[in-house]
Amino acid sequence: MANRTPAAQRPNGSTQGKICQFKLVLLGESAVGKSSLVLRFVKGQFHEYQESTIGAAFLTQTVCLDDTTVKFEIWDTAGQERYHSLAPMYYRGAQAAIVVYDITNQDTFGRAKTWVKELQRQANPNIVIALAGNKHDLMNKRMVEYEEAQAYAEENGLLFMETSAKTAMNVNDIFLAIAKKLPKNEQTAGPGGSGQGRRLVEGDTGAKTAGNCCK
Amino acid sequence: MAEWSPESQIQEGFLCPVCYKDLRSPGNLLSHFVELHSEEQDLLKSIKDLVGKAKKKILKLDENELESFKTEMSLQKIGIEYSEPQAPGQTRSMTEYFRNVRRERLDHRTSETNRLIIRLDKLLRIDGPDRKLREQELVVWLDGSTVSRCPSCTASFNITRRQHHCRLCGSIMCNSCSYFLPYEIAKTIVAPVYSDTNKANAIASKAEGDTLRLCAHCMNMLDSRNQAQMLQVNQPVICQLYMRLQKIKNDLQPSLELYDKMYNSMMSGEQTFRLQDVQSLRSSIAQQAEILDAISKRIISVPLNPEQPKAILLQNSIRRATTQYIKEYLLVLPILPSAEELYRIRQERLTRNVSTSTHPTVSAVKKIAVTTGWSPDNLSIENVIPEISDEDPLMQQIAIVRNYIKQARSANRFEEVASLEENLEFLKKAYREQQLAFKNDKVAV
Repeated sequence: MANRTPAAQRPNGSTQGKICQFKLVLLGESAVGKSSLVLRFVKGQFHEYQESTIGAAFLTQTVCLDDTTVKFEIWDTAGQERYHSLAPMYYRGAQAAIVVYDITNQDTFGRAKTWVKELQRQANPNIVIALAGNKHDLMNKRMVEYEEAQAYAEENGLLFMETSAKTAMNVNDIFLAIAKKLPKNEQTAGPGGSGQGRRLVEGDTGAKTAGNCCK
Repeated sequence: MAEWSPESQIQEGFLCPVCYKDLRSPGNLLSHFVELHSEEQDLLKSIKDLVGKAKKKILKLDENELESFKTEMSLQKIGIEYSEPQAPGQTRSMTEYFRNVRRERLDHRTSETNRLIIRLDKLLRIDGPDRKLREQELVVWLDGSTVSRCPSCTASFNITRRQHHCRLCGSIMCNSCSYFLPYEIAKTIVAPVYSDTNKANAIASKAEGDTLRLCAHCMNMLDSRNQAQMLQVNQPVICQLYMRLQKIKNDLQPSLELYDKMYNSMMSGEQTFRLQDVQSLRSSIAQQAEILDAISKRIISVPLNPEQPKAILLQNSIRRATTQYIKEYLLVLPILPSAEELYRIRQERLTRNVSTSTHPTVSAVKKIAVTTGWSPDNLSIENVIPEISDEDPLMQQIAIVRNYIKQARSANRFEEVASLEENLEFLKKAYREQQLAFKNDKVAV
């Protein structure tokens, strides 16, 4: 039913299985490395002096898991307090979220917990949340213990990894873990659709549109 | 022939290694040896080797070439002897070896050519009355006293047939075996791409019409280098056109796939893509098709070299393939629905029941590939919205997203456009609500 292949494949086009598209949002205190994490995942780059994000940045990346193509539409939100009001607009329709903290800064872990709480309260109830302890390369300045974060993640049913955008450690892995955990079954009916289950017809509210994919 | 003794002069020929007789031919030598010295088996073997080597030298075949030729021959023989198809046995790739041999030869040739060019450059800078002397300082001329005949045509030198020296390598030849390189051409050979003016002037001051005398070998080296360079710079027109053709075709492929996807999505009533976007994509594809057609027409009208009968075949094939491609892929693009039709399709979909439950599945994943992602250029945001950087974050974000949409549209990322448009709607709605709340506050005050 749902496992549609694009209806009309060109003979020399690549044959693909399912195509799933997911909206993913990054949240976390400012300067924990959200943009660096995405930049590493999307473009494989790392900038030592990454400028602070204004508003929210948009990036896309496609990951192929076996014959399933998972396309992430990533919203990298600004961590600065003044942009906090924008965040709901991005996590509201998201199927996945990465909450990032800085392992060398205990405060950012506290902020991450608040973000998780906010997501649990206000985001799509089926949202896949991942907790990322970034800046693993600065191990010697560690202020948040791995076990502490691990325990918290388990308690709240979050994916958890310590990452490093600088060394690329666990960056792809955390996105892939999310991709694996996301439901791949498309549910929109109709022949030869483009495989974007979440975009429905006009008249649906944004929240409903979003929720439709992950029932 | 006289017996060989170490003191006498060195003898040549098919000498028997035991009795030093000259047998005049390898066959004679071999039979002689088998008859008279057959008890010395190991010697026989060595002489066979010797004869073999001599043969190769005589045939002027590189030993290695002969070896590979032999293996090839033996392979062919096997193919003939066994009529049944056989599974390939032990194979060994000789490509690496071939490359090594070729590289060595090319290296040798290149270094030699470079040496010639460096000398040529120096020769060209020499000017003044003592030119001949200084030329000889640069390139040591071969001593003519021991050379009685021209090495290339073997005509003896005398008063009428004088010895001449190649200016580049100093070797000797007669006048008729000499080649002459005009200074103007020599200048173009040594001229680097970035010619500094001083050098160019110095060379230009040479008397016009002057030539350099060269031997056949040096001339050949310079010529082949020139040809190689020309080939690099001037590709045949047909190749250039064909490359453009292929590039357009390759660029078209993702557009075609995208169009297909957009069309299907639209016809199934989804709101993902806007009709204008699909239309603009369609017209851009049509434009490319026209360009393809024009290029293939130009290819067929490229003037032909009569020595290449296959060229006309190639031209025709390219033209045919291109028309075929256009017919098969570009002209069959489904026609877009009109705005009214689209509205009807969407209404139909609205009425259709779209609720089907899904069961999330977590499957074991074996193969994972991460492609390169896309993002709008963040740097340009600053340029786009400098004036509103202190404003309301919402307004700021609306400007950012608008800029993203523009970028996504120009990059033909229509899926991204759709997502961004969706977000823009959210933002606008939030902004309206905010304004409303603000007004209410004011009223309340």
